[in-house]
Amino acid sequence: MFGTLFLKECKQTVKSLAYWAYVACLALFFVSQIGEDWNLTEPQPGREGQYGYTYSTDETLIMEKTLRRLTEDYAQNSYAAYPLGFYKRVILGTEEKEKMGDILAELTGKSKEELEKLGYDYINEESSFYEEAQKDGIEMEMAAPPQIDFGVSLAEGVSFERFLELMEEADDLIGGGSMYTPARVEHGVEVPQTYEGALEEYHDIIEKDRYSGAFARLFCDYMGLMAAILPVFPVVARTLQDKRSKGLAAMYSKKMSSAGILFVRYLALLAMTMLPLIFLAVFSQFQCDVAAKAAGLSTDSFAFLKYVGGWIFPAAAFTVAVGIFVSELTGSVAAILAQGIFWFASVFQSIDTLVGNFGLKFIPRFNALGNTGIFERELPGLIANRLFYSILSLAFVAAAVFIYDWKRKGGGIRIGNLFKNL
Amino acid sequence: MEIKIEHLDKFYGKKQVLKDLNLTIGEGMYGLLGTNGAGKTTLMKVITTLTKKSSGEVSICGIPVGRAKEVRSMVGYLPQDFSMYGGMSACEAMDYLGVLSGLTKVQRKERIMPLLSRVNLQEDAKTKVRAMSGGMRRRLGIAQALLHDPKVLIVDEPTAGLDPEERVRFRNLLCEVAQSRIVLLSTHIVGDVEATCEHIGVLDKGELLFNGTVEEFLALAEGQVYRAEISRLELTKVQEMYPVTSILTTGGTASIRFISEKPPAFLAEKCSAGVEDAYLYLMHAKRREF
Repeated sequence: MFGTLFLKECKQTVKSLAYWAYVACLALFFVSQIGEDWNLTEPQPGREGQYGYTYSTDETLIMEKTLRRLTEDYAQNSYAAYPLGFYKRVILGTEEKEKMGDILAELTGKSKEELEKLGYDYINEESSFYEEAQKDGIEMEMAAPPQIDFGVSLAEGVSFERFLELMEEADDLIGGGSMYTPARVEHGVEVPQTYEGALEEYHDIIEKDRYSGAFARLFCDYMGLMAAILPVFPVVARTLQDKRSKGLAAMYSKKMSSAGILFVRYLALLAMTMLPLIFLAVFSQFQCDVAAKAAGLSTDSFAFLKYVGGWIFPAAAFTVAVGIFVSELTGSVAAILAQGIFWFASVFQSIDTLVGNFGLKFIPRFNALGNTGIFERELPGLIANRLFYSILSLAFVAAAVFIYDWKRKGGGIRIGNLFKNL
Repeated sequence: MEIKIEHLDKFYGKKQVLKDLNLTIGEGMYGLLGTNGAGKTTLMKVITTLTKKSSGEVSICGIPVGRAKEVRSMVGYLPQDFSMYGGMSACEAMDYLGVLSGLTKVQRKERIMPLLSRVNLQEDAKTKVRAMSGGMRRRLGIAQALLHDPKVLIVDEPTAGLDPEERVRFRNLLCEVAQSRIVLLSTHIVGDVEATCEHIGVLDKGELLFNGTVEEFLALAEGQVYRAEISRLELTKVQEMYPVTSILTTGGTASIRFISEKPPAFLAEKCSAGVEDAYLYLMHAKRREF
């Protein structure tokens, strides 16, 4: 009975225009972002600066780079923060600026007067930079901001632990969600890759990732972005079909339990949402296999499916669950708005660390081909992250079942009135 | 086999829509009459488990409505303004609802086409719901309500908006399916009840004004229904004095049928009461009470 209903629900989904729009958007995004280059070339020596970037967790390097950034922000008294995932420019008041000065003073060993001078130096440098730019006929808005070396360095005797404590204080002064949260700082700093590093990475891709694993990660990084928002469209379309059909009362009066109806619908929508993603994954795997074979290398034939199952599936599961829940709750298209806001916030939340540092981010990013070592290090975090969203999905489905059953017994949802005109 | 309702109350917020309702409905067709807003649909929804009662007891064949799953397997429901997903054909809609009713593939296969034939939709089995007329949708609604062979069939305003021919066809269909089951027909169209039901209930503002057989109902107005021919000019005056149940005007003359507890002051002939007369008499009497 559930199997038959599942197939019928799949058929209903396929009949909707929103579903085909979803498939078209996925295909378009795949073609435009992932492209056709599935080849991997062994790095050659003597091409410094062309090996891309990697992340270093060297504590001294982290402290130096972070300090340089903090000094620059302090001089400009302008800090970037993402408190709810959205970018926010923070300007400190006199008291907070004073406290930030204390932190910098401890980190650099410089007096407050010297630190105060940094601000004036920045303004002077900036003015002359833009004057020069203007002379060269470049408009101020078009000129890239000046890169100024303030010549500060870490004071002797500052331990990494103390550094992190001070960064936490700095983050508190900014109001949280800044670039100085200990978790972000500890994650590492971006550094140019060396030839040796690039070669090691290449071998890691061949041996540990078995070629296709690295490409599958990149696939998930991009397609995960879409799986976190697009499924909400066919889900809302399907849920609102009930309302428009005028068949709800007849359906409500039937024997099948609310949990049975809604859970089967959830599974069907999830399956139909995943179907084009799986197709694209299989297609990519095939492309990868062909490229690897041409280079005389072997691949993991199930890499794409494994990564899609573990990485993208929970994102789609969560998006579908939220879509069903909000649609049942409001009886409107509000789910698109809700998921849209959450998606934007999640994208911004991940924007500063595009490789790893997964935490509980809804859209975990790993925008790099390779960096296998970093991925291996952060894999437990990713697993925990995906499990968290999988469990949350089930909680949303359970909540949707509760609402469906409530409505089925004649219960009214007042919140629906707020969204009925959407 | 009966529907038993005892001291049923239903509130929507502070508004009471069903007031201490006591009613027992047995096998056959039961017509529930009432104006719009009388509480008919609410009562139907309580019986079909689609609305919770505020207090009182309601049971279907001994099963309290609180045991929703069991009740739903015994009740077939045709809601007011029934339709289904527009992209589904009649056959697909029946199959979908059959699955929700817990029918096996074999049961669905055995029942769907005969039921569609019974409601005269065999030629339209592949017609999309969105392409169906109101009458066809209503017939599909009856078919889906009968799909799991329920002991109780509840139909809410099934003939509203249908043309006269469709209405007659629909009434006949209801009479056919009423064999060996309870059919509860809610309507504000008196003719539907008159043509089909053995028992009648009249609901007004949540209160049951009458419950009994058609004969008992007719007896309410017996001896108080008159027929007269009057000048058209007198019509307004007569309407102010008596509840008029029908008017037929020809030239300057109007043939009227009206209700009066005392013999009227003008020439009029007594005639036997119909359901419509009894209904109007009851509603008129009720209004006078207040």
